[in-house]
Amino acid sequence: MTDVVAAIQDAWTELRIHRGRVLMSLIGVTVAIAALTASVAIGELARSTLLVSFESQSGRAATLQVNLWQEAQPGGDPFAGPGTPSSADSLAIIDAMDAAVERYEIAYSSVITDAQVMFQGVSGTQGVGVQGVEPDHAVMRHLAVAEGRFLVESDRARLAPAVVVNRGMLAAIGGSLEAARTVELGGATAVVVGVVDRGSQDEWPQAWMLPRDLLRVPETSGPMSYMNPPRLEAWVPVELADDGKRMLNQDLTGALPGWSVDTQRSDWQAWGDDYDPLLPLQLTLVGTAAVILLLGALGLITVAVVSIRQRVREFGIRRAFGASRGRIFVAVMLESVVGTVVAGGIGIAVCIFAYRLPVVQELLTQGLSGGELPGFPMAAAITGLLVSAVVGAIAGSIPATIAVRSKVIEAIRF
Amino acid sequence: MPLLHLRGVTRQFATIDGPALQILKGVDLDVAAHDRVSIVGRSGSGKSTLLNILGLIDQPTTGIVELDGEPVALMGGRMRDRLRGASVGFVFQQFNLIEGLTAAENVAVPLHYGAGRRYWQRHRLASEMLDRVGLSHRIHTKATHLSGGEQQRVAIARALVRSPRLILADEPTGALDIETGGRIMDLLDEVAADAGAALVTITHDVAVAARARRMLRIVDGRLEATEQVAA
Repeated sequence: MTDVVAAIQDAWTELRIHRGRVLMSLIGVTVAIAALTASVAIGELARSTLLVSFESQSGRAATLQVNLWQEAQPGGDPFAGPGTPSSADSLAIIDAMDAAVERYEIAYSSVITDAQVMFQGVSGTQGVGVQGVEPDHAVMRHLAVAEGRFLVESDRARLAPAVVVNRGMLAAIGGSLEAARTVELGGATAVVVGVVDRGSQDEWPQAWMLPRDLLRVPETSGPMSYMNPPRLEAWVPVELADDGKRMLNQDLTGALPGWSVDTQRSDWQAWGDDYDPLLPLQLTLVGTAAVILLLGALGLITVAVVSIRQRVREFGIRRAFGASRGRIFVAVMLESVVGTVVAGGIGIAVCIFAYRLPVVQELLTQGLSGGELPGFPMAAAITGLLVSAVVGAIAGSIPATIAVRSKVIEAIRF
Repeated sequence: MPLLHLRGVTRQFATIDGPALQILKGVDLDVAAHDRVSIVGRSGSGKSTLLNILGLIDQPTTGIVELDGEPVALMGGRMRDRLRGASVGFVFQQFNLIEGLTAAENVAVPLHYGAGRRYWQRHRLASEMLDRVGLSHRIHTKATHLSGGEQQRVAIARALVRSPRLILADEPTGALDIETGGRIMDLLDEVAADAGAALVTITHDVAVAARARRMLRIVDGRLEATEQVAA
């Protein structure tokens, strides 16, 4: 224990004595570690951003999507589309889906219906795509609520349906939640309870309400609503996905005679096990950082090798007073490790500081759902610190080897 | 049993394009505890080579070296390093203080390689040693800011801080003027006597050598007793 503390103390003393040289040699390492940490952080950020983007488009792993279409009638057109189902048909489908979700105790699910209706905006009447979804939908598709709230279970009891709008629709109905508490939507009056912010996706109006509420909107039963049969999305554990697909298919086929049922995984992770869309980006970033790191390490080794030759006498003195070769080796290597870890820490601190700058935040949040940047990725900071220690150990082992090779007698007379 | 026992010690060095250089040709020497021995000789006579063997820095080509009856040749490098750190204190001609360290930090250097207890008490022990050599007012002064005499005092404090049983002084006054050299030798004799350590001084200065109880001359790679003087 004392040996370890004493070795670290020796290393720190040497760094203190030769701080000018150390500072010069470690500037390169600081820059290199900052570059590496930034690369890893940007990679992590891009990965998490893209993951959220993929999951908001296709669902989380594993999302089962159950689609229905009406079986062709004898003598009918076999290529006819699903058409707009009647409200009674849609309600029967939703009941069957609810029953299946309850039977299999699926924790997160949402019946989804889509309709195109008209609403009364401040500049006149215009169309909006309304999606009928359950409260779980916000979690399943990363819908970030900027103001108010998303749909909740208690909204089912409302006489006037609750509606959540995006920024585009909010702008069309008055610009703020206080100014537009209600909206005339498809012939019904809906209460605006929240605003969703998905960044650049929200230029055009869109709204969400509970599926049964959407069916009660008068316009949705009209021929211009383009309403498809309800579909079901269920977020289940990945290991249960195959069984879930089979059971939901069987269950809904039996419950809905005259309808064909198709259940598939929709989440992006079902596209292929070895599919990693971020690999090229991450390899480029890490490759660039590795080259910078190599250059920094080479600079460090060069300065260390030159300076170690000026310290030969010192090693001789230390050996004369009882320091073993191993102790000299460890002390010289520790000097390098302590130095690069301190330099790495500074590089990481610079990265974190830069990450928090408003101009950088603005740059990085473009296109991010909700417009908020997550905290600095800890993985990047830890990677930076570990790499700086490893670089220090490798760069330190060369001068350390030179230091122990010198003989005590020659070293003292050096 | 003598503290240090040498029998038939030889040391030769290989040369690039000629026969091996025979520096020591059969040295016999016993150093008892509390002994005062001086070794004189001309430049190139092998004084420093002998000192390195006495200090366990170098190994003889042939012959026996025993410290406290333990043959040094049978020890591993690490064991020799530990024994050297614990038993031998060096005072060099050029002081060999570490630049950038203060006087106290230089004195504490040997304590970094000793037992844990002494390491944790290094600041106190170093201050006490500096006080003992009359440098309590220079504890925090950088080694490079000290005069030659002060640097040698620091070197003596460093040699004694681990309470060695053997002090090896290699031309301890070689870089000092006569007056300062005399004071340094007085101090060295005094602190070595107080510490109960044997003192072996290698010098080409006969006046310095004459201060020892036994004076030996190294001639043609062998030690010869020249005279016996009272300490």
